[in-house]
Order: sequence, then C-alpha cells, then structure tokens
Amino acid sequence: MTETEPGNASAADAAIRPDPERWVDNHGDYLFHFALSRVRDATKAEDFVQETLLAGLRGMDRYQGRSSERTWLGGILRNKLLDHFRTLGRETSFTDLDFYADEEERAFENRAFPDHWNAAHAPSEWSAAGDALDREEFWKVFHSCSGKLPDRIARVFLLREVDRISSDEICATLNISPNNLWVMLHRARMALRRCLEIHWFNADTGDAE
Amino acid sequence: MKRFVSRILRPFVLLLAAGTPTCRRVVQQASQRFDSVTGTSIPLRTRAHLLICSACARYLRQLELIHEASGKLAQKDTSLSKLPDASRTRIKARLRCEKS
Repeated sequence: MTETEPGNASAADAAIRPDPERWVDNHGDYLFHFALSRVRDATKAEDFVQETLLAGLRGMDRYQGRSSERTWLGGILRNKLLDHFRTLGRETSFTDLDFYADEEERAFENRAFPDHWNAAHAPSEWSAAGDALDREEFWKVFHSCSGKLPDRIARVFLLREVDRISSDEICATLNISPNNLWVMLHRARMALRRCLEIHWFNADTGDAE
Repeated sequence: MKRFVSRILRPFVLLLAAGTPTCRRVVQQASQRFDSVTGTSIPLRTRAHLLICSACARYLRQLELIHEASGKLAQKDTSLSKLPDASRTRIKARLRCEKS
C-alpha cells in the first residue's frame, strides 16, 4: 500500500492544504514573469521560481490562508529577490548615473532660456491618455519601454514604482545614497516617458527616433 | 489676432517665469514627488511655473500616468513571459522529491 486511504479528517485537511505541484501550474507563469522582469535572466528567474516554491513547501504550515496563495508566494519571491539584490549591492557599485545624462542635457538645451525645455524635446500632448491603461497594446509598449532601461536602472525603478518599496529600504538594500537613487529614478522616468511618447502616444504621427 | 495677443503677453509671462524655478528643476521636483524624499506637496513657486508652462504641466501629468501604470504592471503583463515547460516539469519533480 503506497497511499493512505483518506478518511473524513484527511479529506477535509486536503481540501484546505495547498498542493505545491499545483502551484507550478497556477502561479508558475506569474512568479516567473515577476522574477524575470527583475533579474532579466531566464535561468536565474527559473531558479527563483523553484526556490520560492520550495520555500513555500517548507513553510506551508505557516501559511494561514489569510492572503491568497499568489500573494503569499509572491511575498516569498520578493524577499528572495531583495536578498539577491542586497548581495549584489554589497558586491558591486549599483549606480548607473551616466544613463540618460546626455539626453537630459539635450532636453534642456535652450540658449535663450537656459535649463528650460528645448522645443524639440518638450513633452507633447498625449492623445487618448485617459483610456491608455485599458488597452492591451499600451501595456506591450510600456513593457517594451521599461525593458529598454539598463538593468540597474530598471531594477531600481521596478522596486520603487512597481513593488512600491520605500526609498529608504531600496537605499539600504542596494547600498546606494538617497541622491543617487533619486537621480536614477528621475532619469528612468524621463526615459520611459520619452519612449512612451514616441512608441505609443505619437506612434501614428511618425515621430520616431 | 491670437498671435498678436500672445506677443503682447509674452513679456509678462517671461517676467513671471523669471520668478519661478527652471523647467529642469520643476521636472526634478516632479520626480521627487513620487519618492517621498521631500514629501509630496508642490512648492508654491513650482505651482506658479506649472500655471504658465504647459510643457512642464504635461510632463507632470504624464509622470502621474506612468506612476499609475507602473503600479498595475504586475497584474497586466503576466501573459508576456511563460515559465518554460521543461522548467515546469523540473520544478514539479523537485517539489515531489522534497515532499517525500
């Protein structure tokens, strides 16, 4: 006999007890995508998914069912990624302050009024901005634009804007100064805004770089 | 006519603009609003700048849209990358192994 015949108690237990293999089917894509968008390496992202689910399996008894399985597993993955970034922060210089510096200079290159918008770079009106978030195409462009950010900038941006982790925690995790964090976020936003303007909001006007 | 009025008003707008931060500074402050570094309120002089500078006002609105979109990114783009089947099988096997 290989399996215990389920009695009433064990059947009820099974009903509320999560099945780790089912997690792979139900949450595997979500966790993989979450990890991939942050580490940008498919093999590493797969490892993170595996480590997350193994940690979930080991800590299953502590899962009280107060949050959804996905939220709970996402929390485990998030902590694992933060540990990973913490190690990276200790090992390497995490800043990437050159990113977009030239473009920022060009954006405010104005002989008559220094540090005011250069007419060619000033933000144009975004038509149909109101319903952009409801359109699938917008999300493809948004994802593509955020994917163009350099790794470190993207990591900082995702931690701050997507995961909504506080600036203080990001600075502590990545071992960077608040000012460097701020410059990286500022340039990430400028670059993302410009990319969206070109590839989504003005795509049909042919205003491409 | 519109051009004539705009020409007349231009010196006054420039005079008012001279008392407000530069566009570069306003754009920097716009970004800081989302990071709780200096709080979320917009300084009075910056507000005055936003009243007369349509490009900066647009920039701020667009940053708010990006901020809103970023918050929804995790739910919106799960269809874009899938856990490969081979990896799925490997992870299931590893979980089985761990369970037994």
